[in-house]
Amino acid sequence: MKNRQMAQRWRGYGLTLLLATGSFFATGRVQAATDSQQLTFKYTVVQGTCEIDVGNGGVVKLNDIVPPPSPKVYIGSSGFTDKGEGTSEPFDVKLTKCSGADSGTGGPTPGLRIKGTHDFPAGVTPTKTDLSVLFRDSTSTSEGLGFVIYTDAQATFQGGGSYVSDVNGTDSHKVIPIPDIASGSGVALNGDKTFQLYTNVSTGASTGKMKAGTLIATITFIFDYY
Amino acid sequence: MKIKIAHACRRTAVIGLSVVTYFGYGLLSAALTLPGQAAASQTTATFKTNILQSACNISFLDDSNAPLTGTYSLGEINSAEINQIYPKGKLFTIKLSDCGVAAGTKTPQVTITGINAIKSQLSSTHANEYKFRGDALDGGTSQEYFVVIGEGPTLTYNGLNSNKNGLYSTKAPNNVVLKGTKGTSGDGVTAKLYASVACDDACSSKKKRAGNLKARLTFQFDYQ
Repeated sequence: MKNRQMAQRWRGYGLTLLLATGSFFATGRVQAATDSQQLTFKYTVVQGTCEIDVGNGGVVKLNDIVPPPSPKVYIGSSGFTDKGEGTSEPFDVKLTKCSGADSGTGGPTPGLRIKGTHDFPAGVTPTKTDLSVLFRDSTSTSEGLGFVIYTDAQATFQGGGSYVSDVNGTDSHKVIPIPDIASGSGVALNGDKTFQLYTNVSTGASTGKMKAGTLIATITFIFDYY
Repeated sequence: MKIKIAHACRRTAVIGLSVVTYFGYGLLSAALTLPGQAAASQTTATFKTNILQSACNISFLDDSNAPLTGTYSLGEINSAEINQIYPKGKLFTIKLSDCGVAAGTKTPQVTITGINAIKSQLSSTHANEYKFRGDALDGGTSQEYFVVIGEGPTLTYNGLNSNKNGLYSTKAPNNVVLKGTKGTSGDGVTAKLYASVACDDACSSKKKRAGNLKARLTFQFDYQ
């Protein structure tokens, strides 16, 4: 009886030792898996980019503009061109030599963002919206006006307006989607793609009185996946 | 009891292995789909245009400050009260509106032009650019009389020679009837003008005749 109890005890110890050993080996595999994590850092899949050309070789020139006597400020179709109030001028955006890999539904899609200068005369305190959407270089001699970029010929500011905000601005509307690629679809852009954006001139909400002269804006277009 | 402990250890070990394995695959998977690693490309475009000045609209108000269009009647004037000039000018106001943009170095102004009296139809020999009267019948049935425009309200006669003398002429620099502030559009600026009748140095002419008198004046806006 005593021997049988002792035998059972030793079997118990043996099983415990065996299981403890198995446990030890399992823990050893955990350490090995940790090593494999280092391999993952060597993988960096880079989405392809595109070459970008805006306007005519980087220049968008509007005809001379005689502003309306009392232009509207950020109300509906507030901008104007030489064709009058409520109009906008199309210009081409050419994306070439694009390459990328689809990332699946919910993944990022290609788009453009813009950034530029929002310079206004001394003594003028532009609003946050002015500083988001009105582009004007300090070399301009006209005052109280700036260029606005739109994604649609119907230049609008209210609600789901078609205006584009500076990437550094406080306003929304910062990403210009690529036509035919649904946001969040994870579809990449490959090959070439040409589409139109629109621009016009507008007064700001608080950019001072208008004065005649040249109006110049240098705007950077940034292609990326968002 | 020890067996149960051993089971517990084993379970723990398996869970730990599972977690780490999943974690490792997770990293691998994420690394393969990271799109944020893309090197964004960019280009710069220059947008240009010229903003041009736009002219103001010119409108008129009568001596009651009511809008004035077409013909402004000066009423009837007794010829006996015209001693070379009828001194009580009739007020009208010129007003600029809907002016658009200004320029930093330009000044909005309005100059007077119009049909000066034809010299051959007047006996007065003084400067003709102060005298406004329509041509022939268009000037009315009176003779030797003409319209003058001045700063007023009292208009005086001083030969109507080359000096302005409070009267406006069709020759610079006395043709400027309104001048705004430099660098502004001129929007809302007004100027009071006075119209009257004169016969200058021909008031004693035997050709002088009573009748109606018409003159056409043109006001032109510009930035100078």
